[in-house]
Amino acid sequence: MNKIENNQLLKLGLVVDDIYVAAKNFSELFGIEMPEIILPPEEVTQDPTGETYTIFRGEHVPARVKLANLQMGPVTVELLEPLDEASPYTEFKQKHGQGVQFITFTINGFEEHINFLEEKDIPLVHKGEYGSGRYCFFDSVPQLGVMLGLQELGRKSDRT
Amino acid sequence: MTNQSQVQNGVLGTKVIAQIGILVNDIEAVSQAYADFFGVEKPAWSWTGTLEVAQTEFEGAPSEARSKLAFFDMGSLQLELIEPDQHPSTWRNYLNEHGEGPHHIAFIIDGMKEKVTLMESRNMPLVQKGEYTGGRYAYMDTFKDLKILIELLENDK
Repeated sequence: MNKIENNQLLKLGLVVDDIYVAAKNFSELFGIEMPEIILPPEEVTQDPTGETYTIFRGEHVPARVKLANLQMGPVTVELLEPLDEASPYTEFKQKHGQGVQFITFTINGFEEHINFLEEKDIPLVHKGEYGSGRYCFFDSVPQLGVMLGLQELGRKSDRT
Repeated sequence: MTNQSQVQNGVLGTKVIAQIGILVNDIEAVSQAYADFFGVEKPAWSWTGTLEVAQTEFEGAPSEARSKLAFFDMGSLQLELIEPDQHPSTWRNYLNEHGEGPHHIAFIIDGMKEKVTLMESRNMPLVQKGEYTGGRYAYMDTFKDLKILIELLENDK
């Protein structure tokens, strides 16, 4: 592998303090219906099978976040309100405050891409597997001016 | 359910993001990194116009501020890299305050004056505006509401 296989930017991740207010402001300004606010579970336990996980800077953590997706044409703006616990979103908020945290591309070959980028000195920050897909973030600000996000869709067992 | 035309149009008449603008300190190095990582050609950067050409206004007063710009096509939108000079501008001030990172999302609109007025009436003030070959831009301070600035682009027909 010698490049990220896809350069179609699909998603912007936007960290906010109050997801209800931000979602309402976007939906009013752009004439979008108010999106569903997806709440994280109150109690989380690590999946004993290892089939699903969230690993932030090498540690298994819940990394809970409230989510809402706004469809802005072909691009999705993902609003993120992190809970006050370790996660890439909380880390961004502490460092930068509110704002666009990452841009995401969809790829095939999840671990291969992680290896490719780490070999190029772009360290992995976070990765998660939720069953029907997986996503990861990289410390790419020094090279790309923004955090790079990659996602792969489909169940692990469907991967070729 | 809101009325259909409102749902489709909103205040700007569009919800399609045309560009994401990212502030950087070294446009050469960052352009090269995008080109390398995504396997695309490295675009040449160019300066925004001089004060006389661009008629740049920042916070209501003429400004000599300029930026180097480079554009990458990334599917439905362009990723715009911006390296500002040292003159005060929304670019330079934001970069000093926040460091490198996303500064705005841009929308292509019709009727610049009307859209600016509409947004200002919603407490989203004009921060900076200017002309480019074939059109004009306006940065609106939407940070309070949206946590990202909005750039309006109007291209001549």
